[in-house]
Amino acid sequence: MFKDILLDVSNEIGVTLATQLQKKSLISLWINQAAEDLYTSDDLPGCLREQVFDLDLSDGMVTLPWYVYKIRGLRNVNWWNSISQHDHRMRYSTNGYKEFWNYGWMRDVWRVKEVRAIGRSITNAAPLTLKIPLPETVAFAVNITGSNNNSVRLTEKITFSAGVTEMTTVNSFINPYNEFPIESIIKNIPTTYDLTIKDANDLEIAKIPNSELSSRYTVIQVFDNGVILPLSTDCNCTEVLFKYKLSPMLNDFDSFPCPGFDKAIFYKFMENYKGKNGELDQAVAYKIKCKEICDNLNNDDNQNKEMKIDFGVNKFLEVQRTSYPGDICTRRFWWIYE
Amino acid sequence: MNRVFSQFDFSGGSNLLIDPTNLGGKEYFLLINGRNRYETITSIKEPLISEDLPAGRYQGCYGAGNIVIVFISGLAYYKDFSNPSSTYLKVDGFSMNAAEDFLYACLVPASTVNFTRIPTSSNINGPVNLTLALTASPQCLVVQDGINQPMLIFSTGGSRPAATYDQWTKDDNREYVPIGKQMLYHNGILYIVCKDVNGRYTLLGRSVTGRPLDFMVNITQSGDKLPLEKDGGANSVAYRVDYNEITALQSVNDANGGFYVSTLRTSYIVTPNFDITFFGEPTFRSTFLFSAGAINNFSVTDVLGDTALIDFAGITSFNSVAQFRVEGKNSPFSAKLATLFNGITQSVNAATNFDNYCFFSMDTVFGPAIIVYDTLRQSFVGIDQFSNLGVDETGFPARIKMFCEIKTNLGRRFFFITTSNKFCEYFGSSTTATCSLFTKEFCSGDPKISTKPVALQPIFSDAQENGLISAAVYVDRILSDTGDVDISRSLVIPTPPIAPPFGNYSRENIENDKINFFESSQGYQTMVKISWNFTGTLTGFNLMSVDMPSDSSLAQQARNYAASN
Repeated sequence: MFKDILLDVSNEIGVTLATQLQKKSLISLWINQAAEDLYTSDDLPGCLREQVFDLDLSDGMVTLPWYVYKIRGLRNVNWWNSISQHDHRMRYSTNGYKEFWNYGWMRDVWRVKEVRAIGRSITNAAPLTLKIPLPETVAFAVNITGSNNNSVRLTEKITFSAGVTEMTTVNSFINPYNEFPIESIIKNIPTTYDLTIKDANDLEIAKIPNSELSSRYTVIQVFDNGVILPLSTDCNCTEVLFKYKLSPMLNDFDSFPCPGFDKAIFYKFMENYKGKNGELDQAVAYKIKCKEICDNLNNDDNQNKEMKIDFGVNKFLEVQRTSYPGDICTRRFWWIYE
Repeated sequence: MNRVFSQFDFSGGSNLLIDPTNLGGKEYFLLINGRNRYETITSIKEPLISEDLPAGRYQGCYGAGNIVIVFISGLAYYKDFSNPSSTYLKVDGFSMNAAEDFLYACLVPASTVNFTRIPTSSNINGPVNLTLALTASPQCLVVQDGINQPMLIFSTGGSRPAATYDQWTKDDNREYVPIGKQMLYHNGILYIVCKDVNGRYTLLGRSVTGRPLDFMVNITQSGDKLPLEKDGGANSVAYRVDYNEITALQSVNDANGGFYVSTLRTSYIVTPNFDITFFGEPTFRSTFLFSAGAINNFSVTDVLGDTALIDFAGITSFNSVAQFRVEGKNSPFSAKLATLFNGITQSVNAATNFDNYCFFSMDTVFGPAIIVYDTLRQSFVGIDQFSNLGVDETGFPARIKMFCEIKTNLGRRFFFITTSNKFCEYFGSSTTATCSLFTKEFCSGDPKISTKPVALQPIFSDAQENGLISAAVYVDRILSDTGDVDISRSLVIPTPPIAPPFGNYSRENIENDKINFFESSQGYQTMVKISWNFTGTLTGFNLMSVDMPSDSSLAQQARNYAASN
């Protein structure tokens, strides 16, 4: 938990947590940066989650909630088939492999388009309403950056005084060139309660969890426009394997999503700290120590599991690819059982 | 990178004048309840509080040979310390004002000029003839409370009031001692500070030369007294130094026979003037010393031939010889401790010297304390602060009102009384006072390199008791971390004669223990406090630190980050 990392770091670099609050705040930031460095470096054991989402397929796009950081696998719950994720460039390729079109009714190819601040389009461009369920004891501010007819990028700061539960923006956010006119919604501090942003039709367009500072939605194209809509079922359910969003650790008992990595975060912090201050030999030592812990945890996690091993591209099949233009699968995978 | 700060010589003493980072290699910031005479730091014993004296207002303590006399609520008690089995006895017939804060006392010898004085003419500036031989006045302790007729205490343990003006007779009772407060016996004359007509103690009364109990200086041509005291009493020939009340009288090393007289604001040397006499006795002239005066009669002491006094703001010293012949400049004696007195006005003070140390009981920024000056090292050792002295009537920590010293065939003894109405013997307890050393502030010398203290390794020798070594680190002047280690290996120090070179110890004599600071902060400056509560000697220490380099300090980065949010 965060308290343990904080204690290790404060003792190592010399910050008295009880009294040096500004320093504590800064090293908390640095610890979270180290945690993010570590978290984004690989899929650490324990970082993946599975969840079944019932998707609204009224058009070709869906958004997944803030905690879906990276999608690692998709599976159709009704038909038991896996769904591929495609890179953007395959859709526009004119040379070599090319994605022709997305068979929406099969729902076998998804593309993560982007990460946005709002979860749905604004249906009414009137000013937005920001709400918290119960009053906060300290003031906080929300900065909304977006577009309107007069400015491509403008920022409005909305300040919630202590005790206030609802505020309305002065500006209307609309962009004739983009259905997502809001670029970011960012709080200045973590709060006690979640913040909800609604448009003038009272539709929730975004939500910032109390522990987060910004809203975040993953936008996915699930089929092309104009394709035949999928067969009607009781549930358009898709099972998603995803990497959980790393939330900043703020309170003593907040935890890193992957159990057992506290010491690795500490060593990553020290690597960054020593490197930043020019003590490169010590930074390297801490880096080695951090890697050792990560490797150990990975090895420990992989014991006695069936593994899918990628043996790489068959060079001879690559010959076919260059000889016969068209969409030829060039990769082969083998399953092995341990 | 690891960095080690060390100190193994503490002979430079305490220095609070300059920034603690700039102290010399042998200096330290402050020492409490310790001594550094032998370059190491040795703890001292707590004072022993006397339990066999009655409760009451403790008004004074005076040493006379083997005997200590303590005045309590107007009564006097004495004890002969040359006899270990002796107890305190009450002085017979002694009674003075019980409400006064101080009783003033002065030992006087028997009179040496025992003749009738007869003026040679009606001119008061003329000489006198010494005619009939008289009985000598007794040696005694003269005691004043400023209200009642002074009392005389004799070596027999008895006492009586001194004779008044009316009781003085020319032929068979030439004793007259006026009511006053401070006294000084100097060059055969007893001086007493007396009230003027306005009730202020501005007059310096004096006895006849060689006759300390005879203040009948003003006599008729027949050698008799005038009818009324107001015309012929001690005040008629008394001397004044200035408008203000006299606070202190003290003998000094002056070839002209002068002595030190102080008001609260000014110091003088008063010298007898034999060129102009009154009734055959010298008049006086005063020489201005400086615009600072002793707080009271007990706050002046000798320091290696100089005279040191406690004034409103601190300690001042002067050399009575140099004052006249070289320069009229008082030395800033307590300059190294100046910051101890920042914003403090002194009120109840005492000063003395003992065992080549000078002791100044004063108010400091750390509360009441005894400033200790080593006259052999000629440096300030530090302060003594004892936890067992209690509080005064207002709840304020006890101050020392008066010191006294005796010399017996069993050794020298050192005592004091406090505003908490206790009579104590300095170093007298068997319990060791907790000794605390505050070192200089150690730093890398490069603002880009902060340090984080990680461990302290003190070396102790001659630990004679079980006890605790405690350490605390102050990083950038904030208490950052503490640690301690038990010493539970009592060492019996061999008593002389011992086998060279160290005697036969029953076990090793050096304590080498490490105290870790797991939760210390990083910062530019680090001070260590080392405390121990056993009789033992700190010979030196290593402070291990880790460098924390950065282009801007962590504190500044943190402030900037906080400001940006």
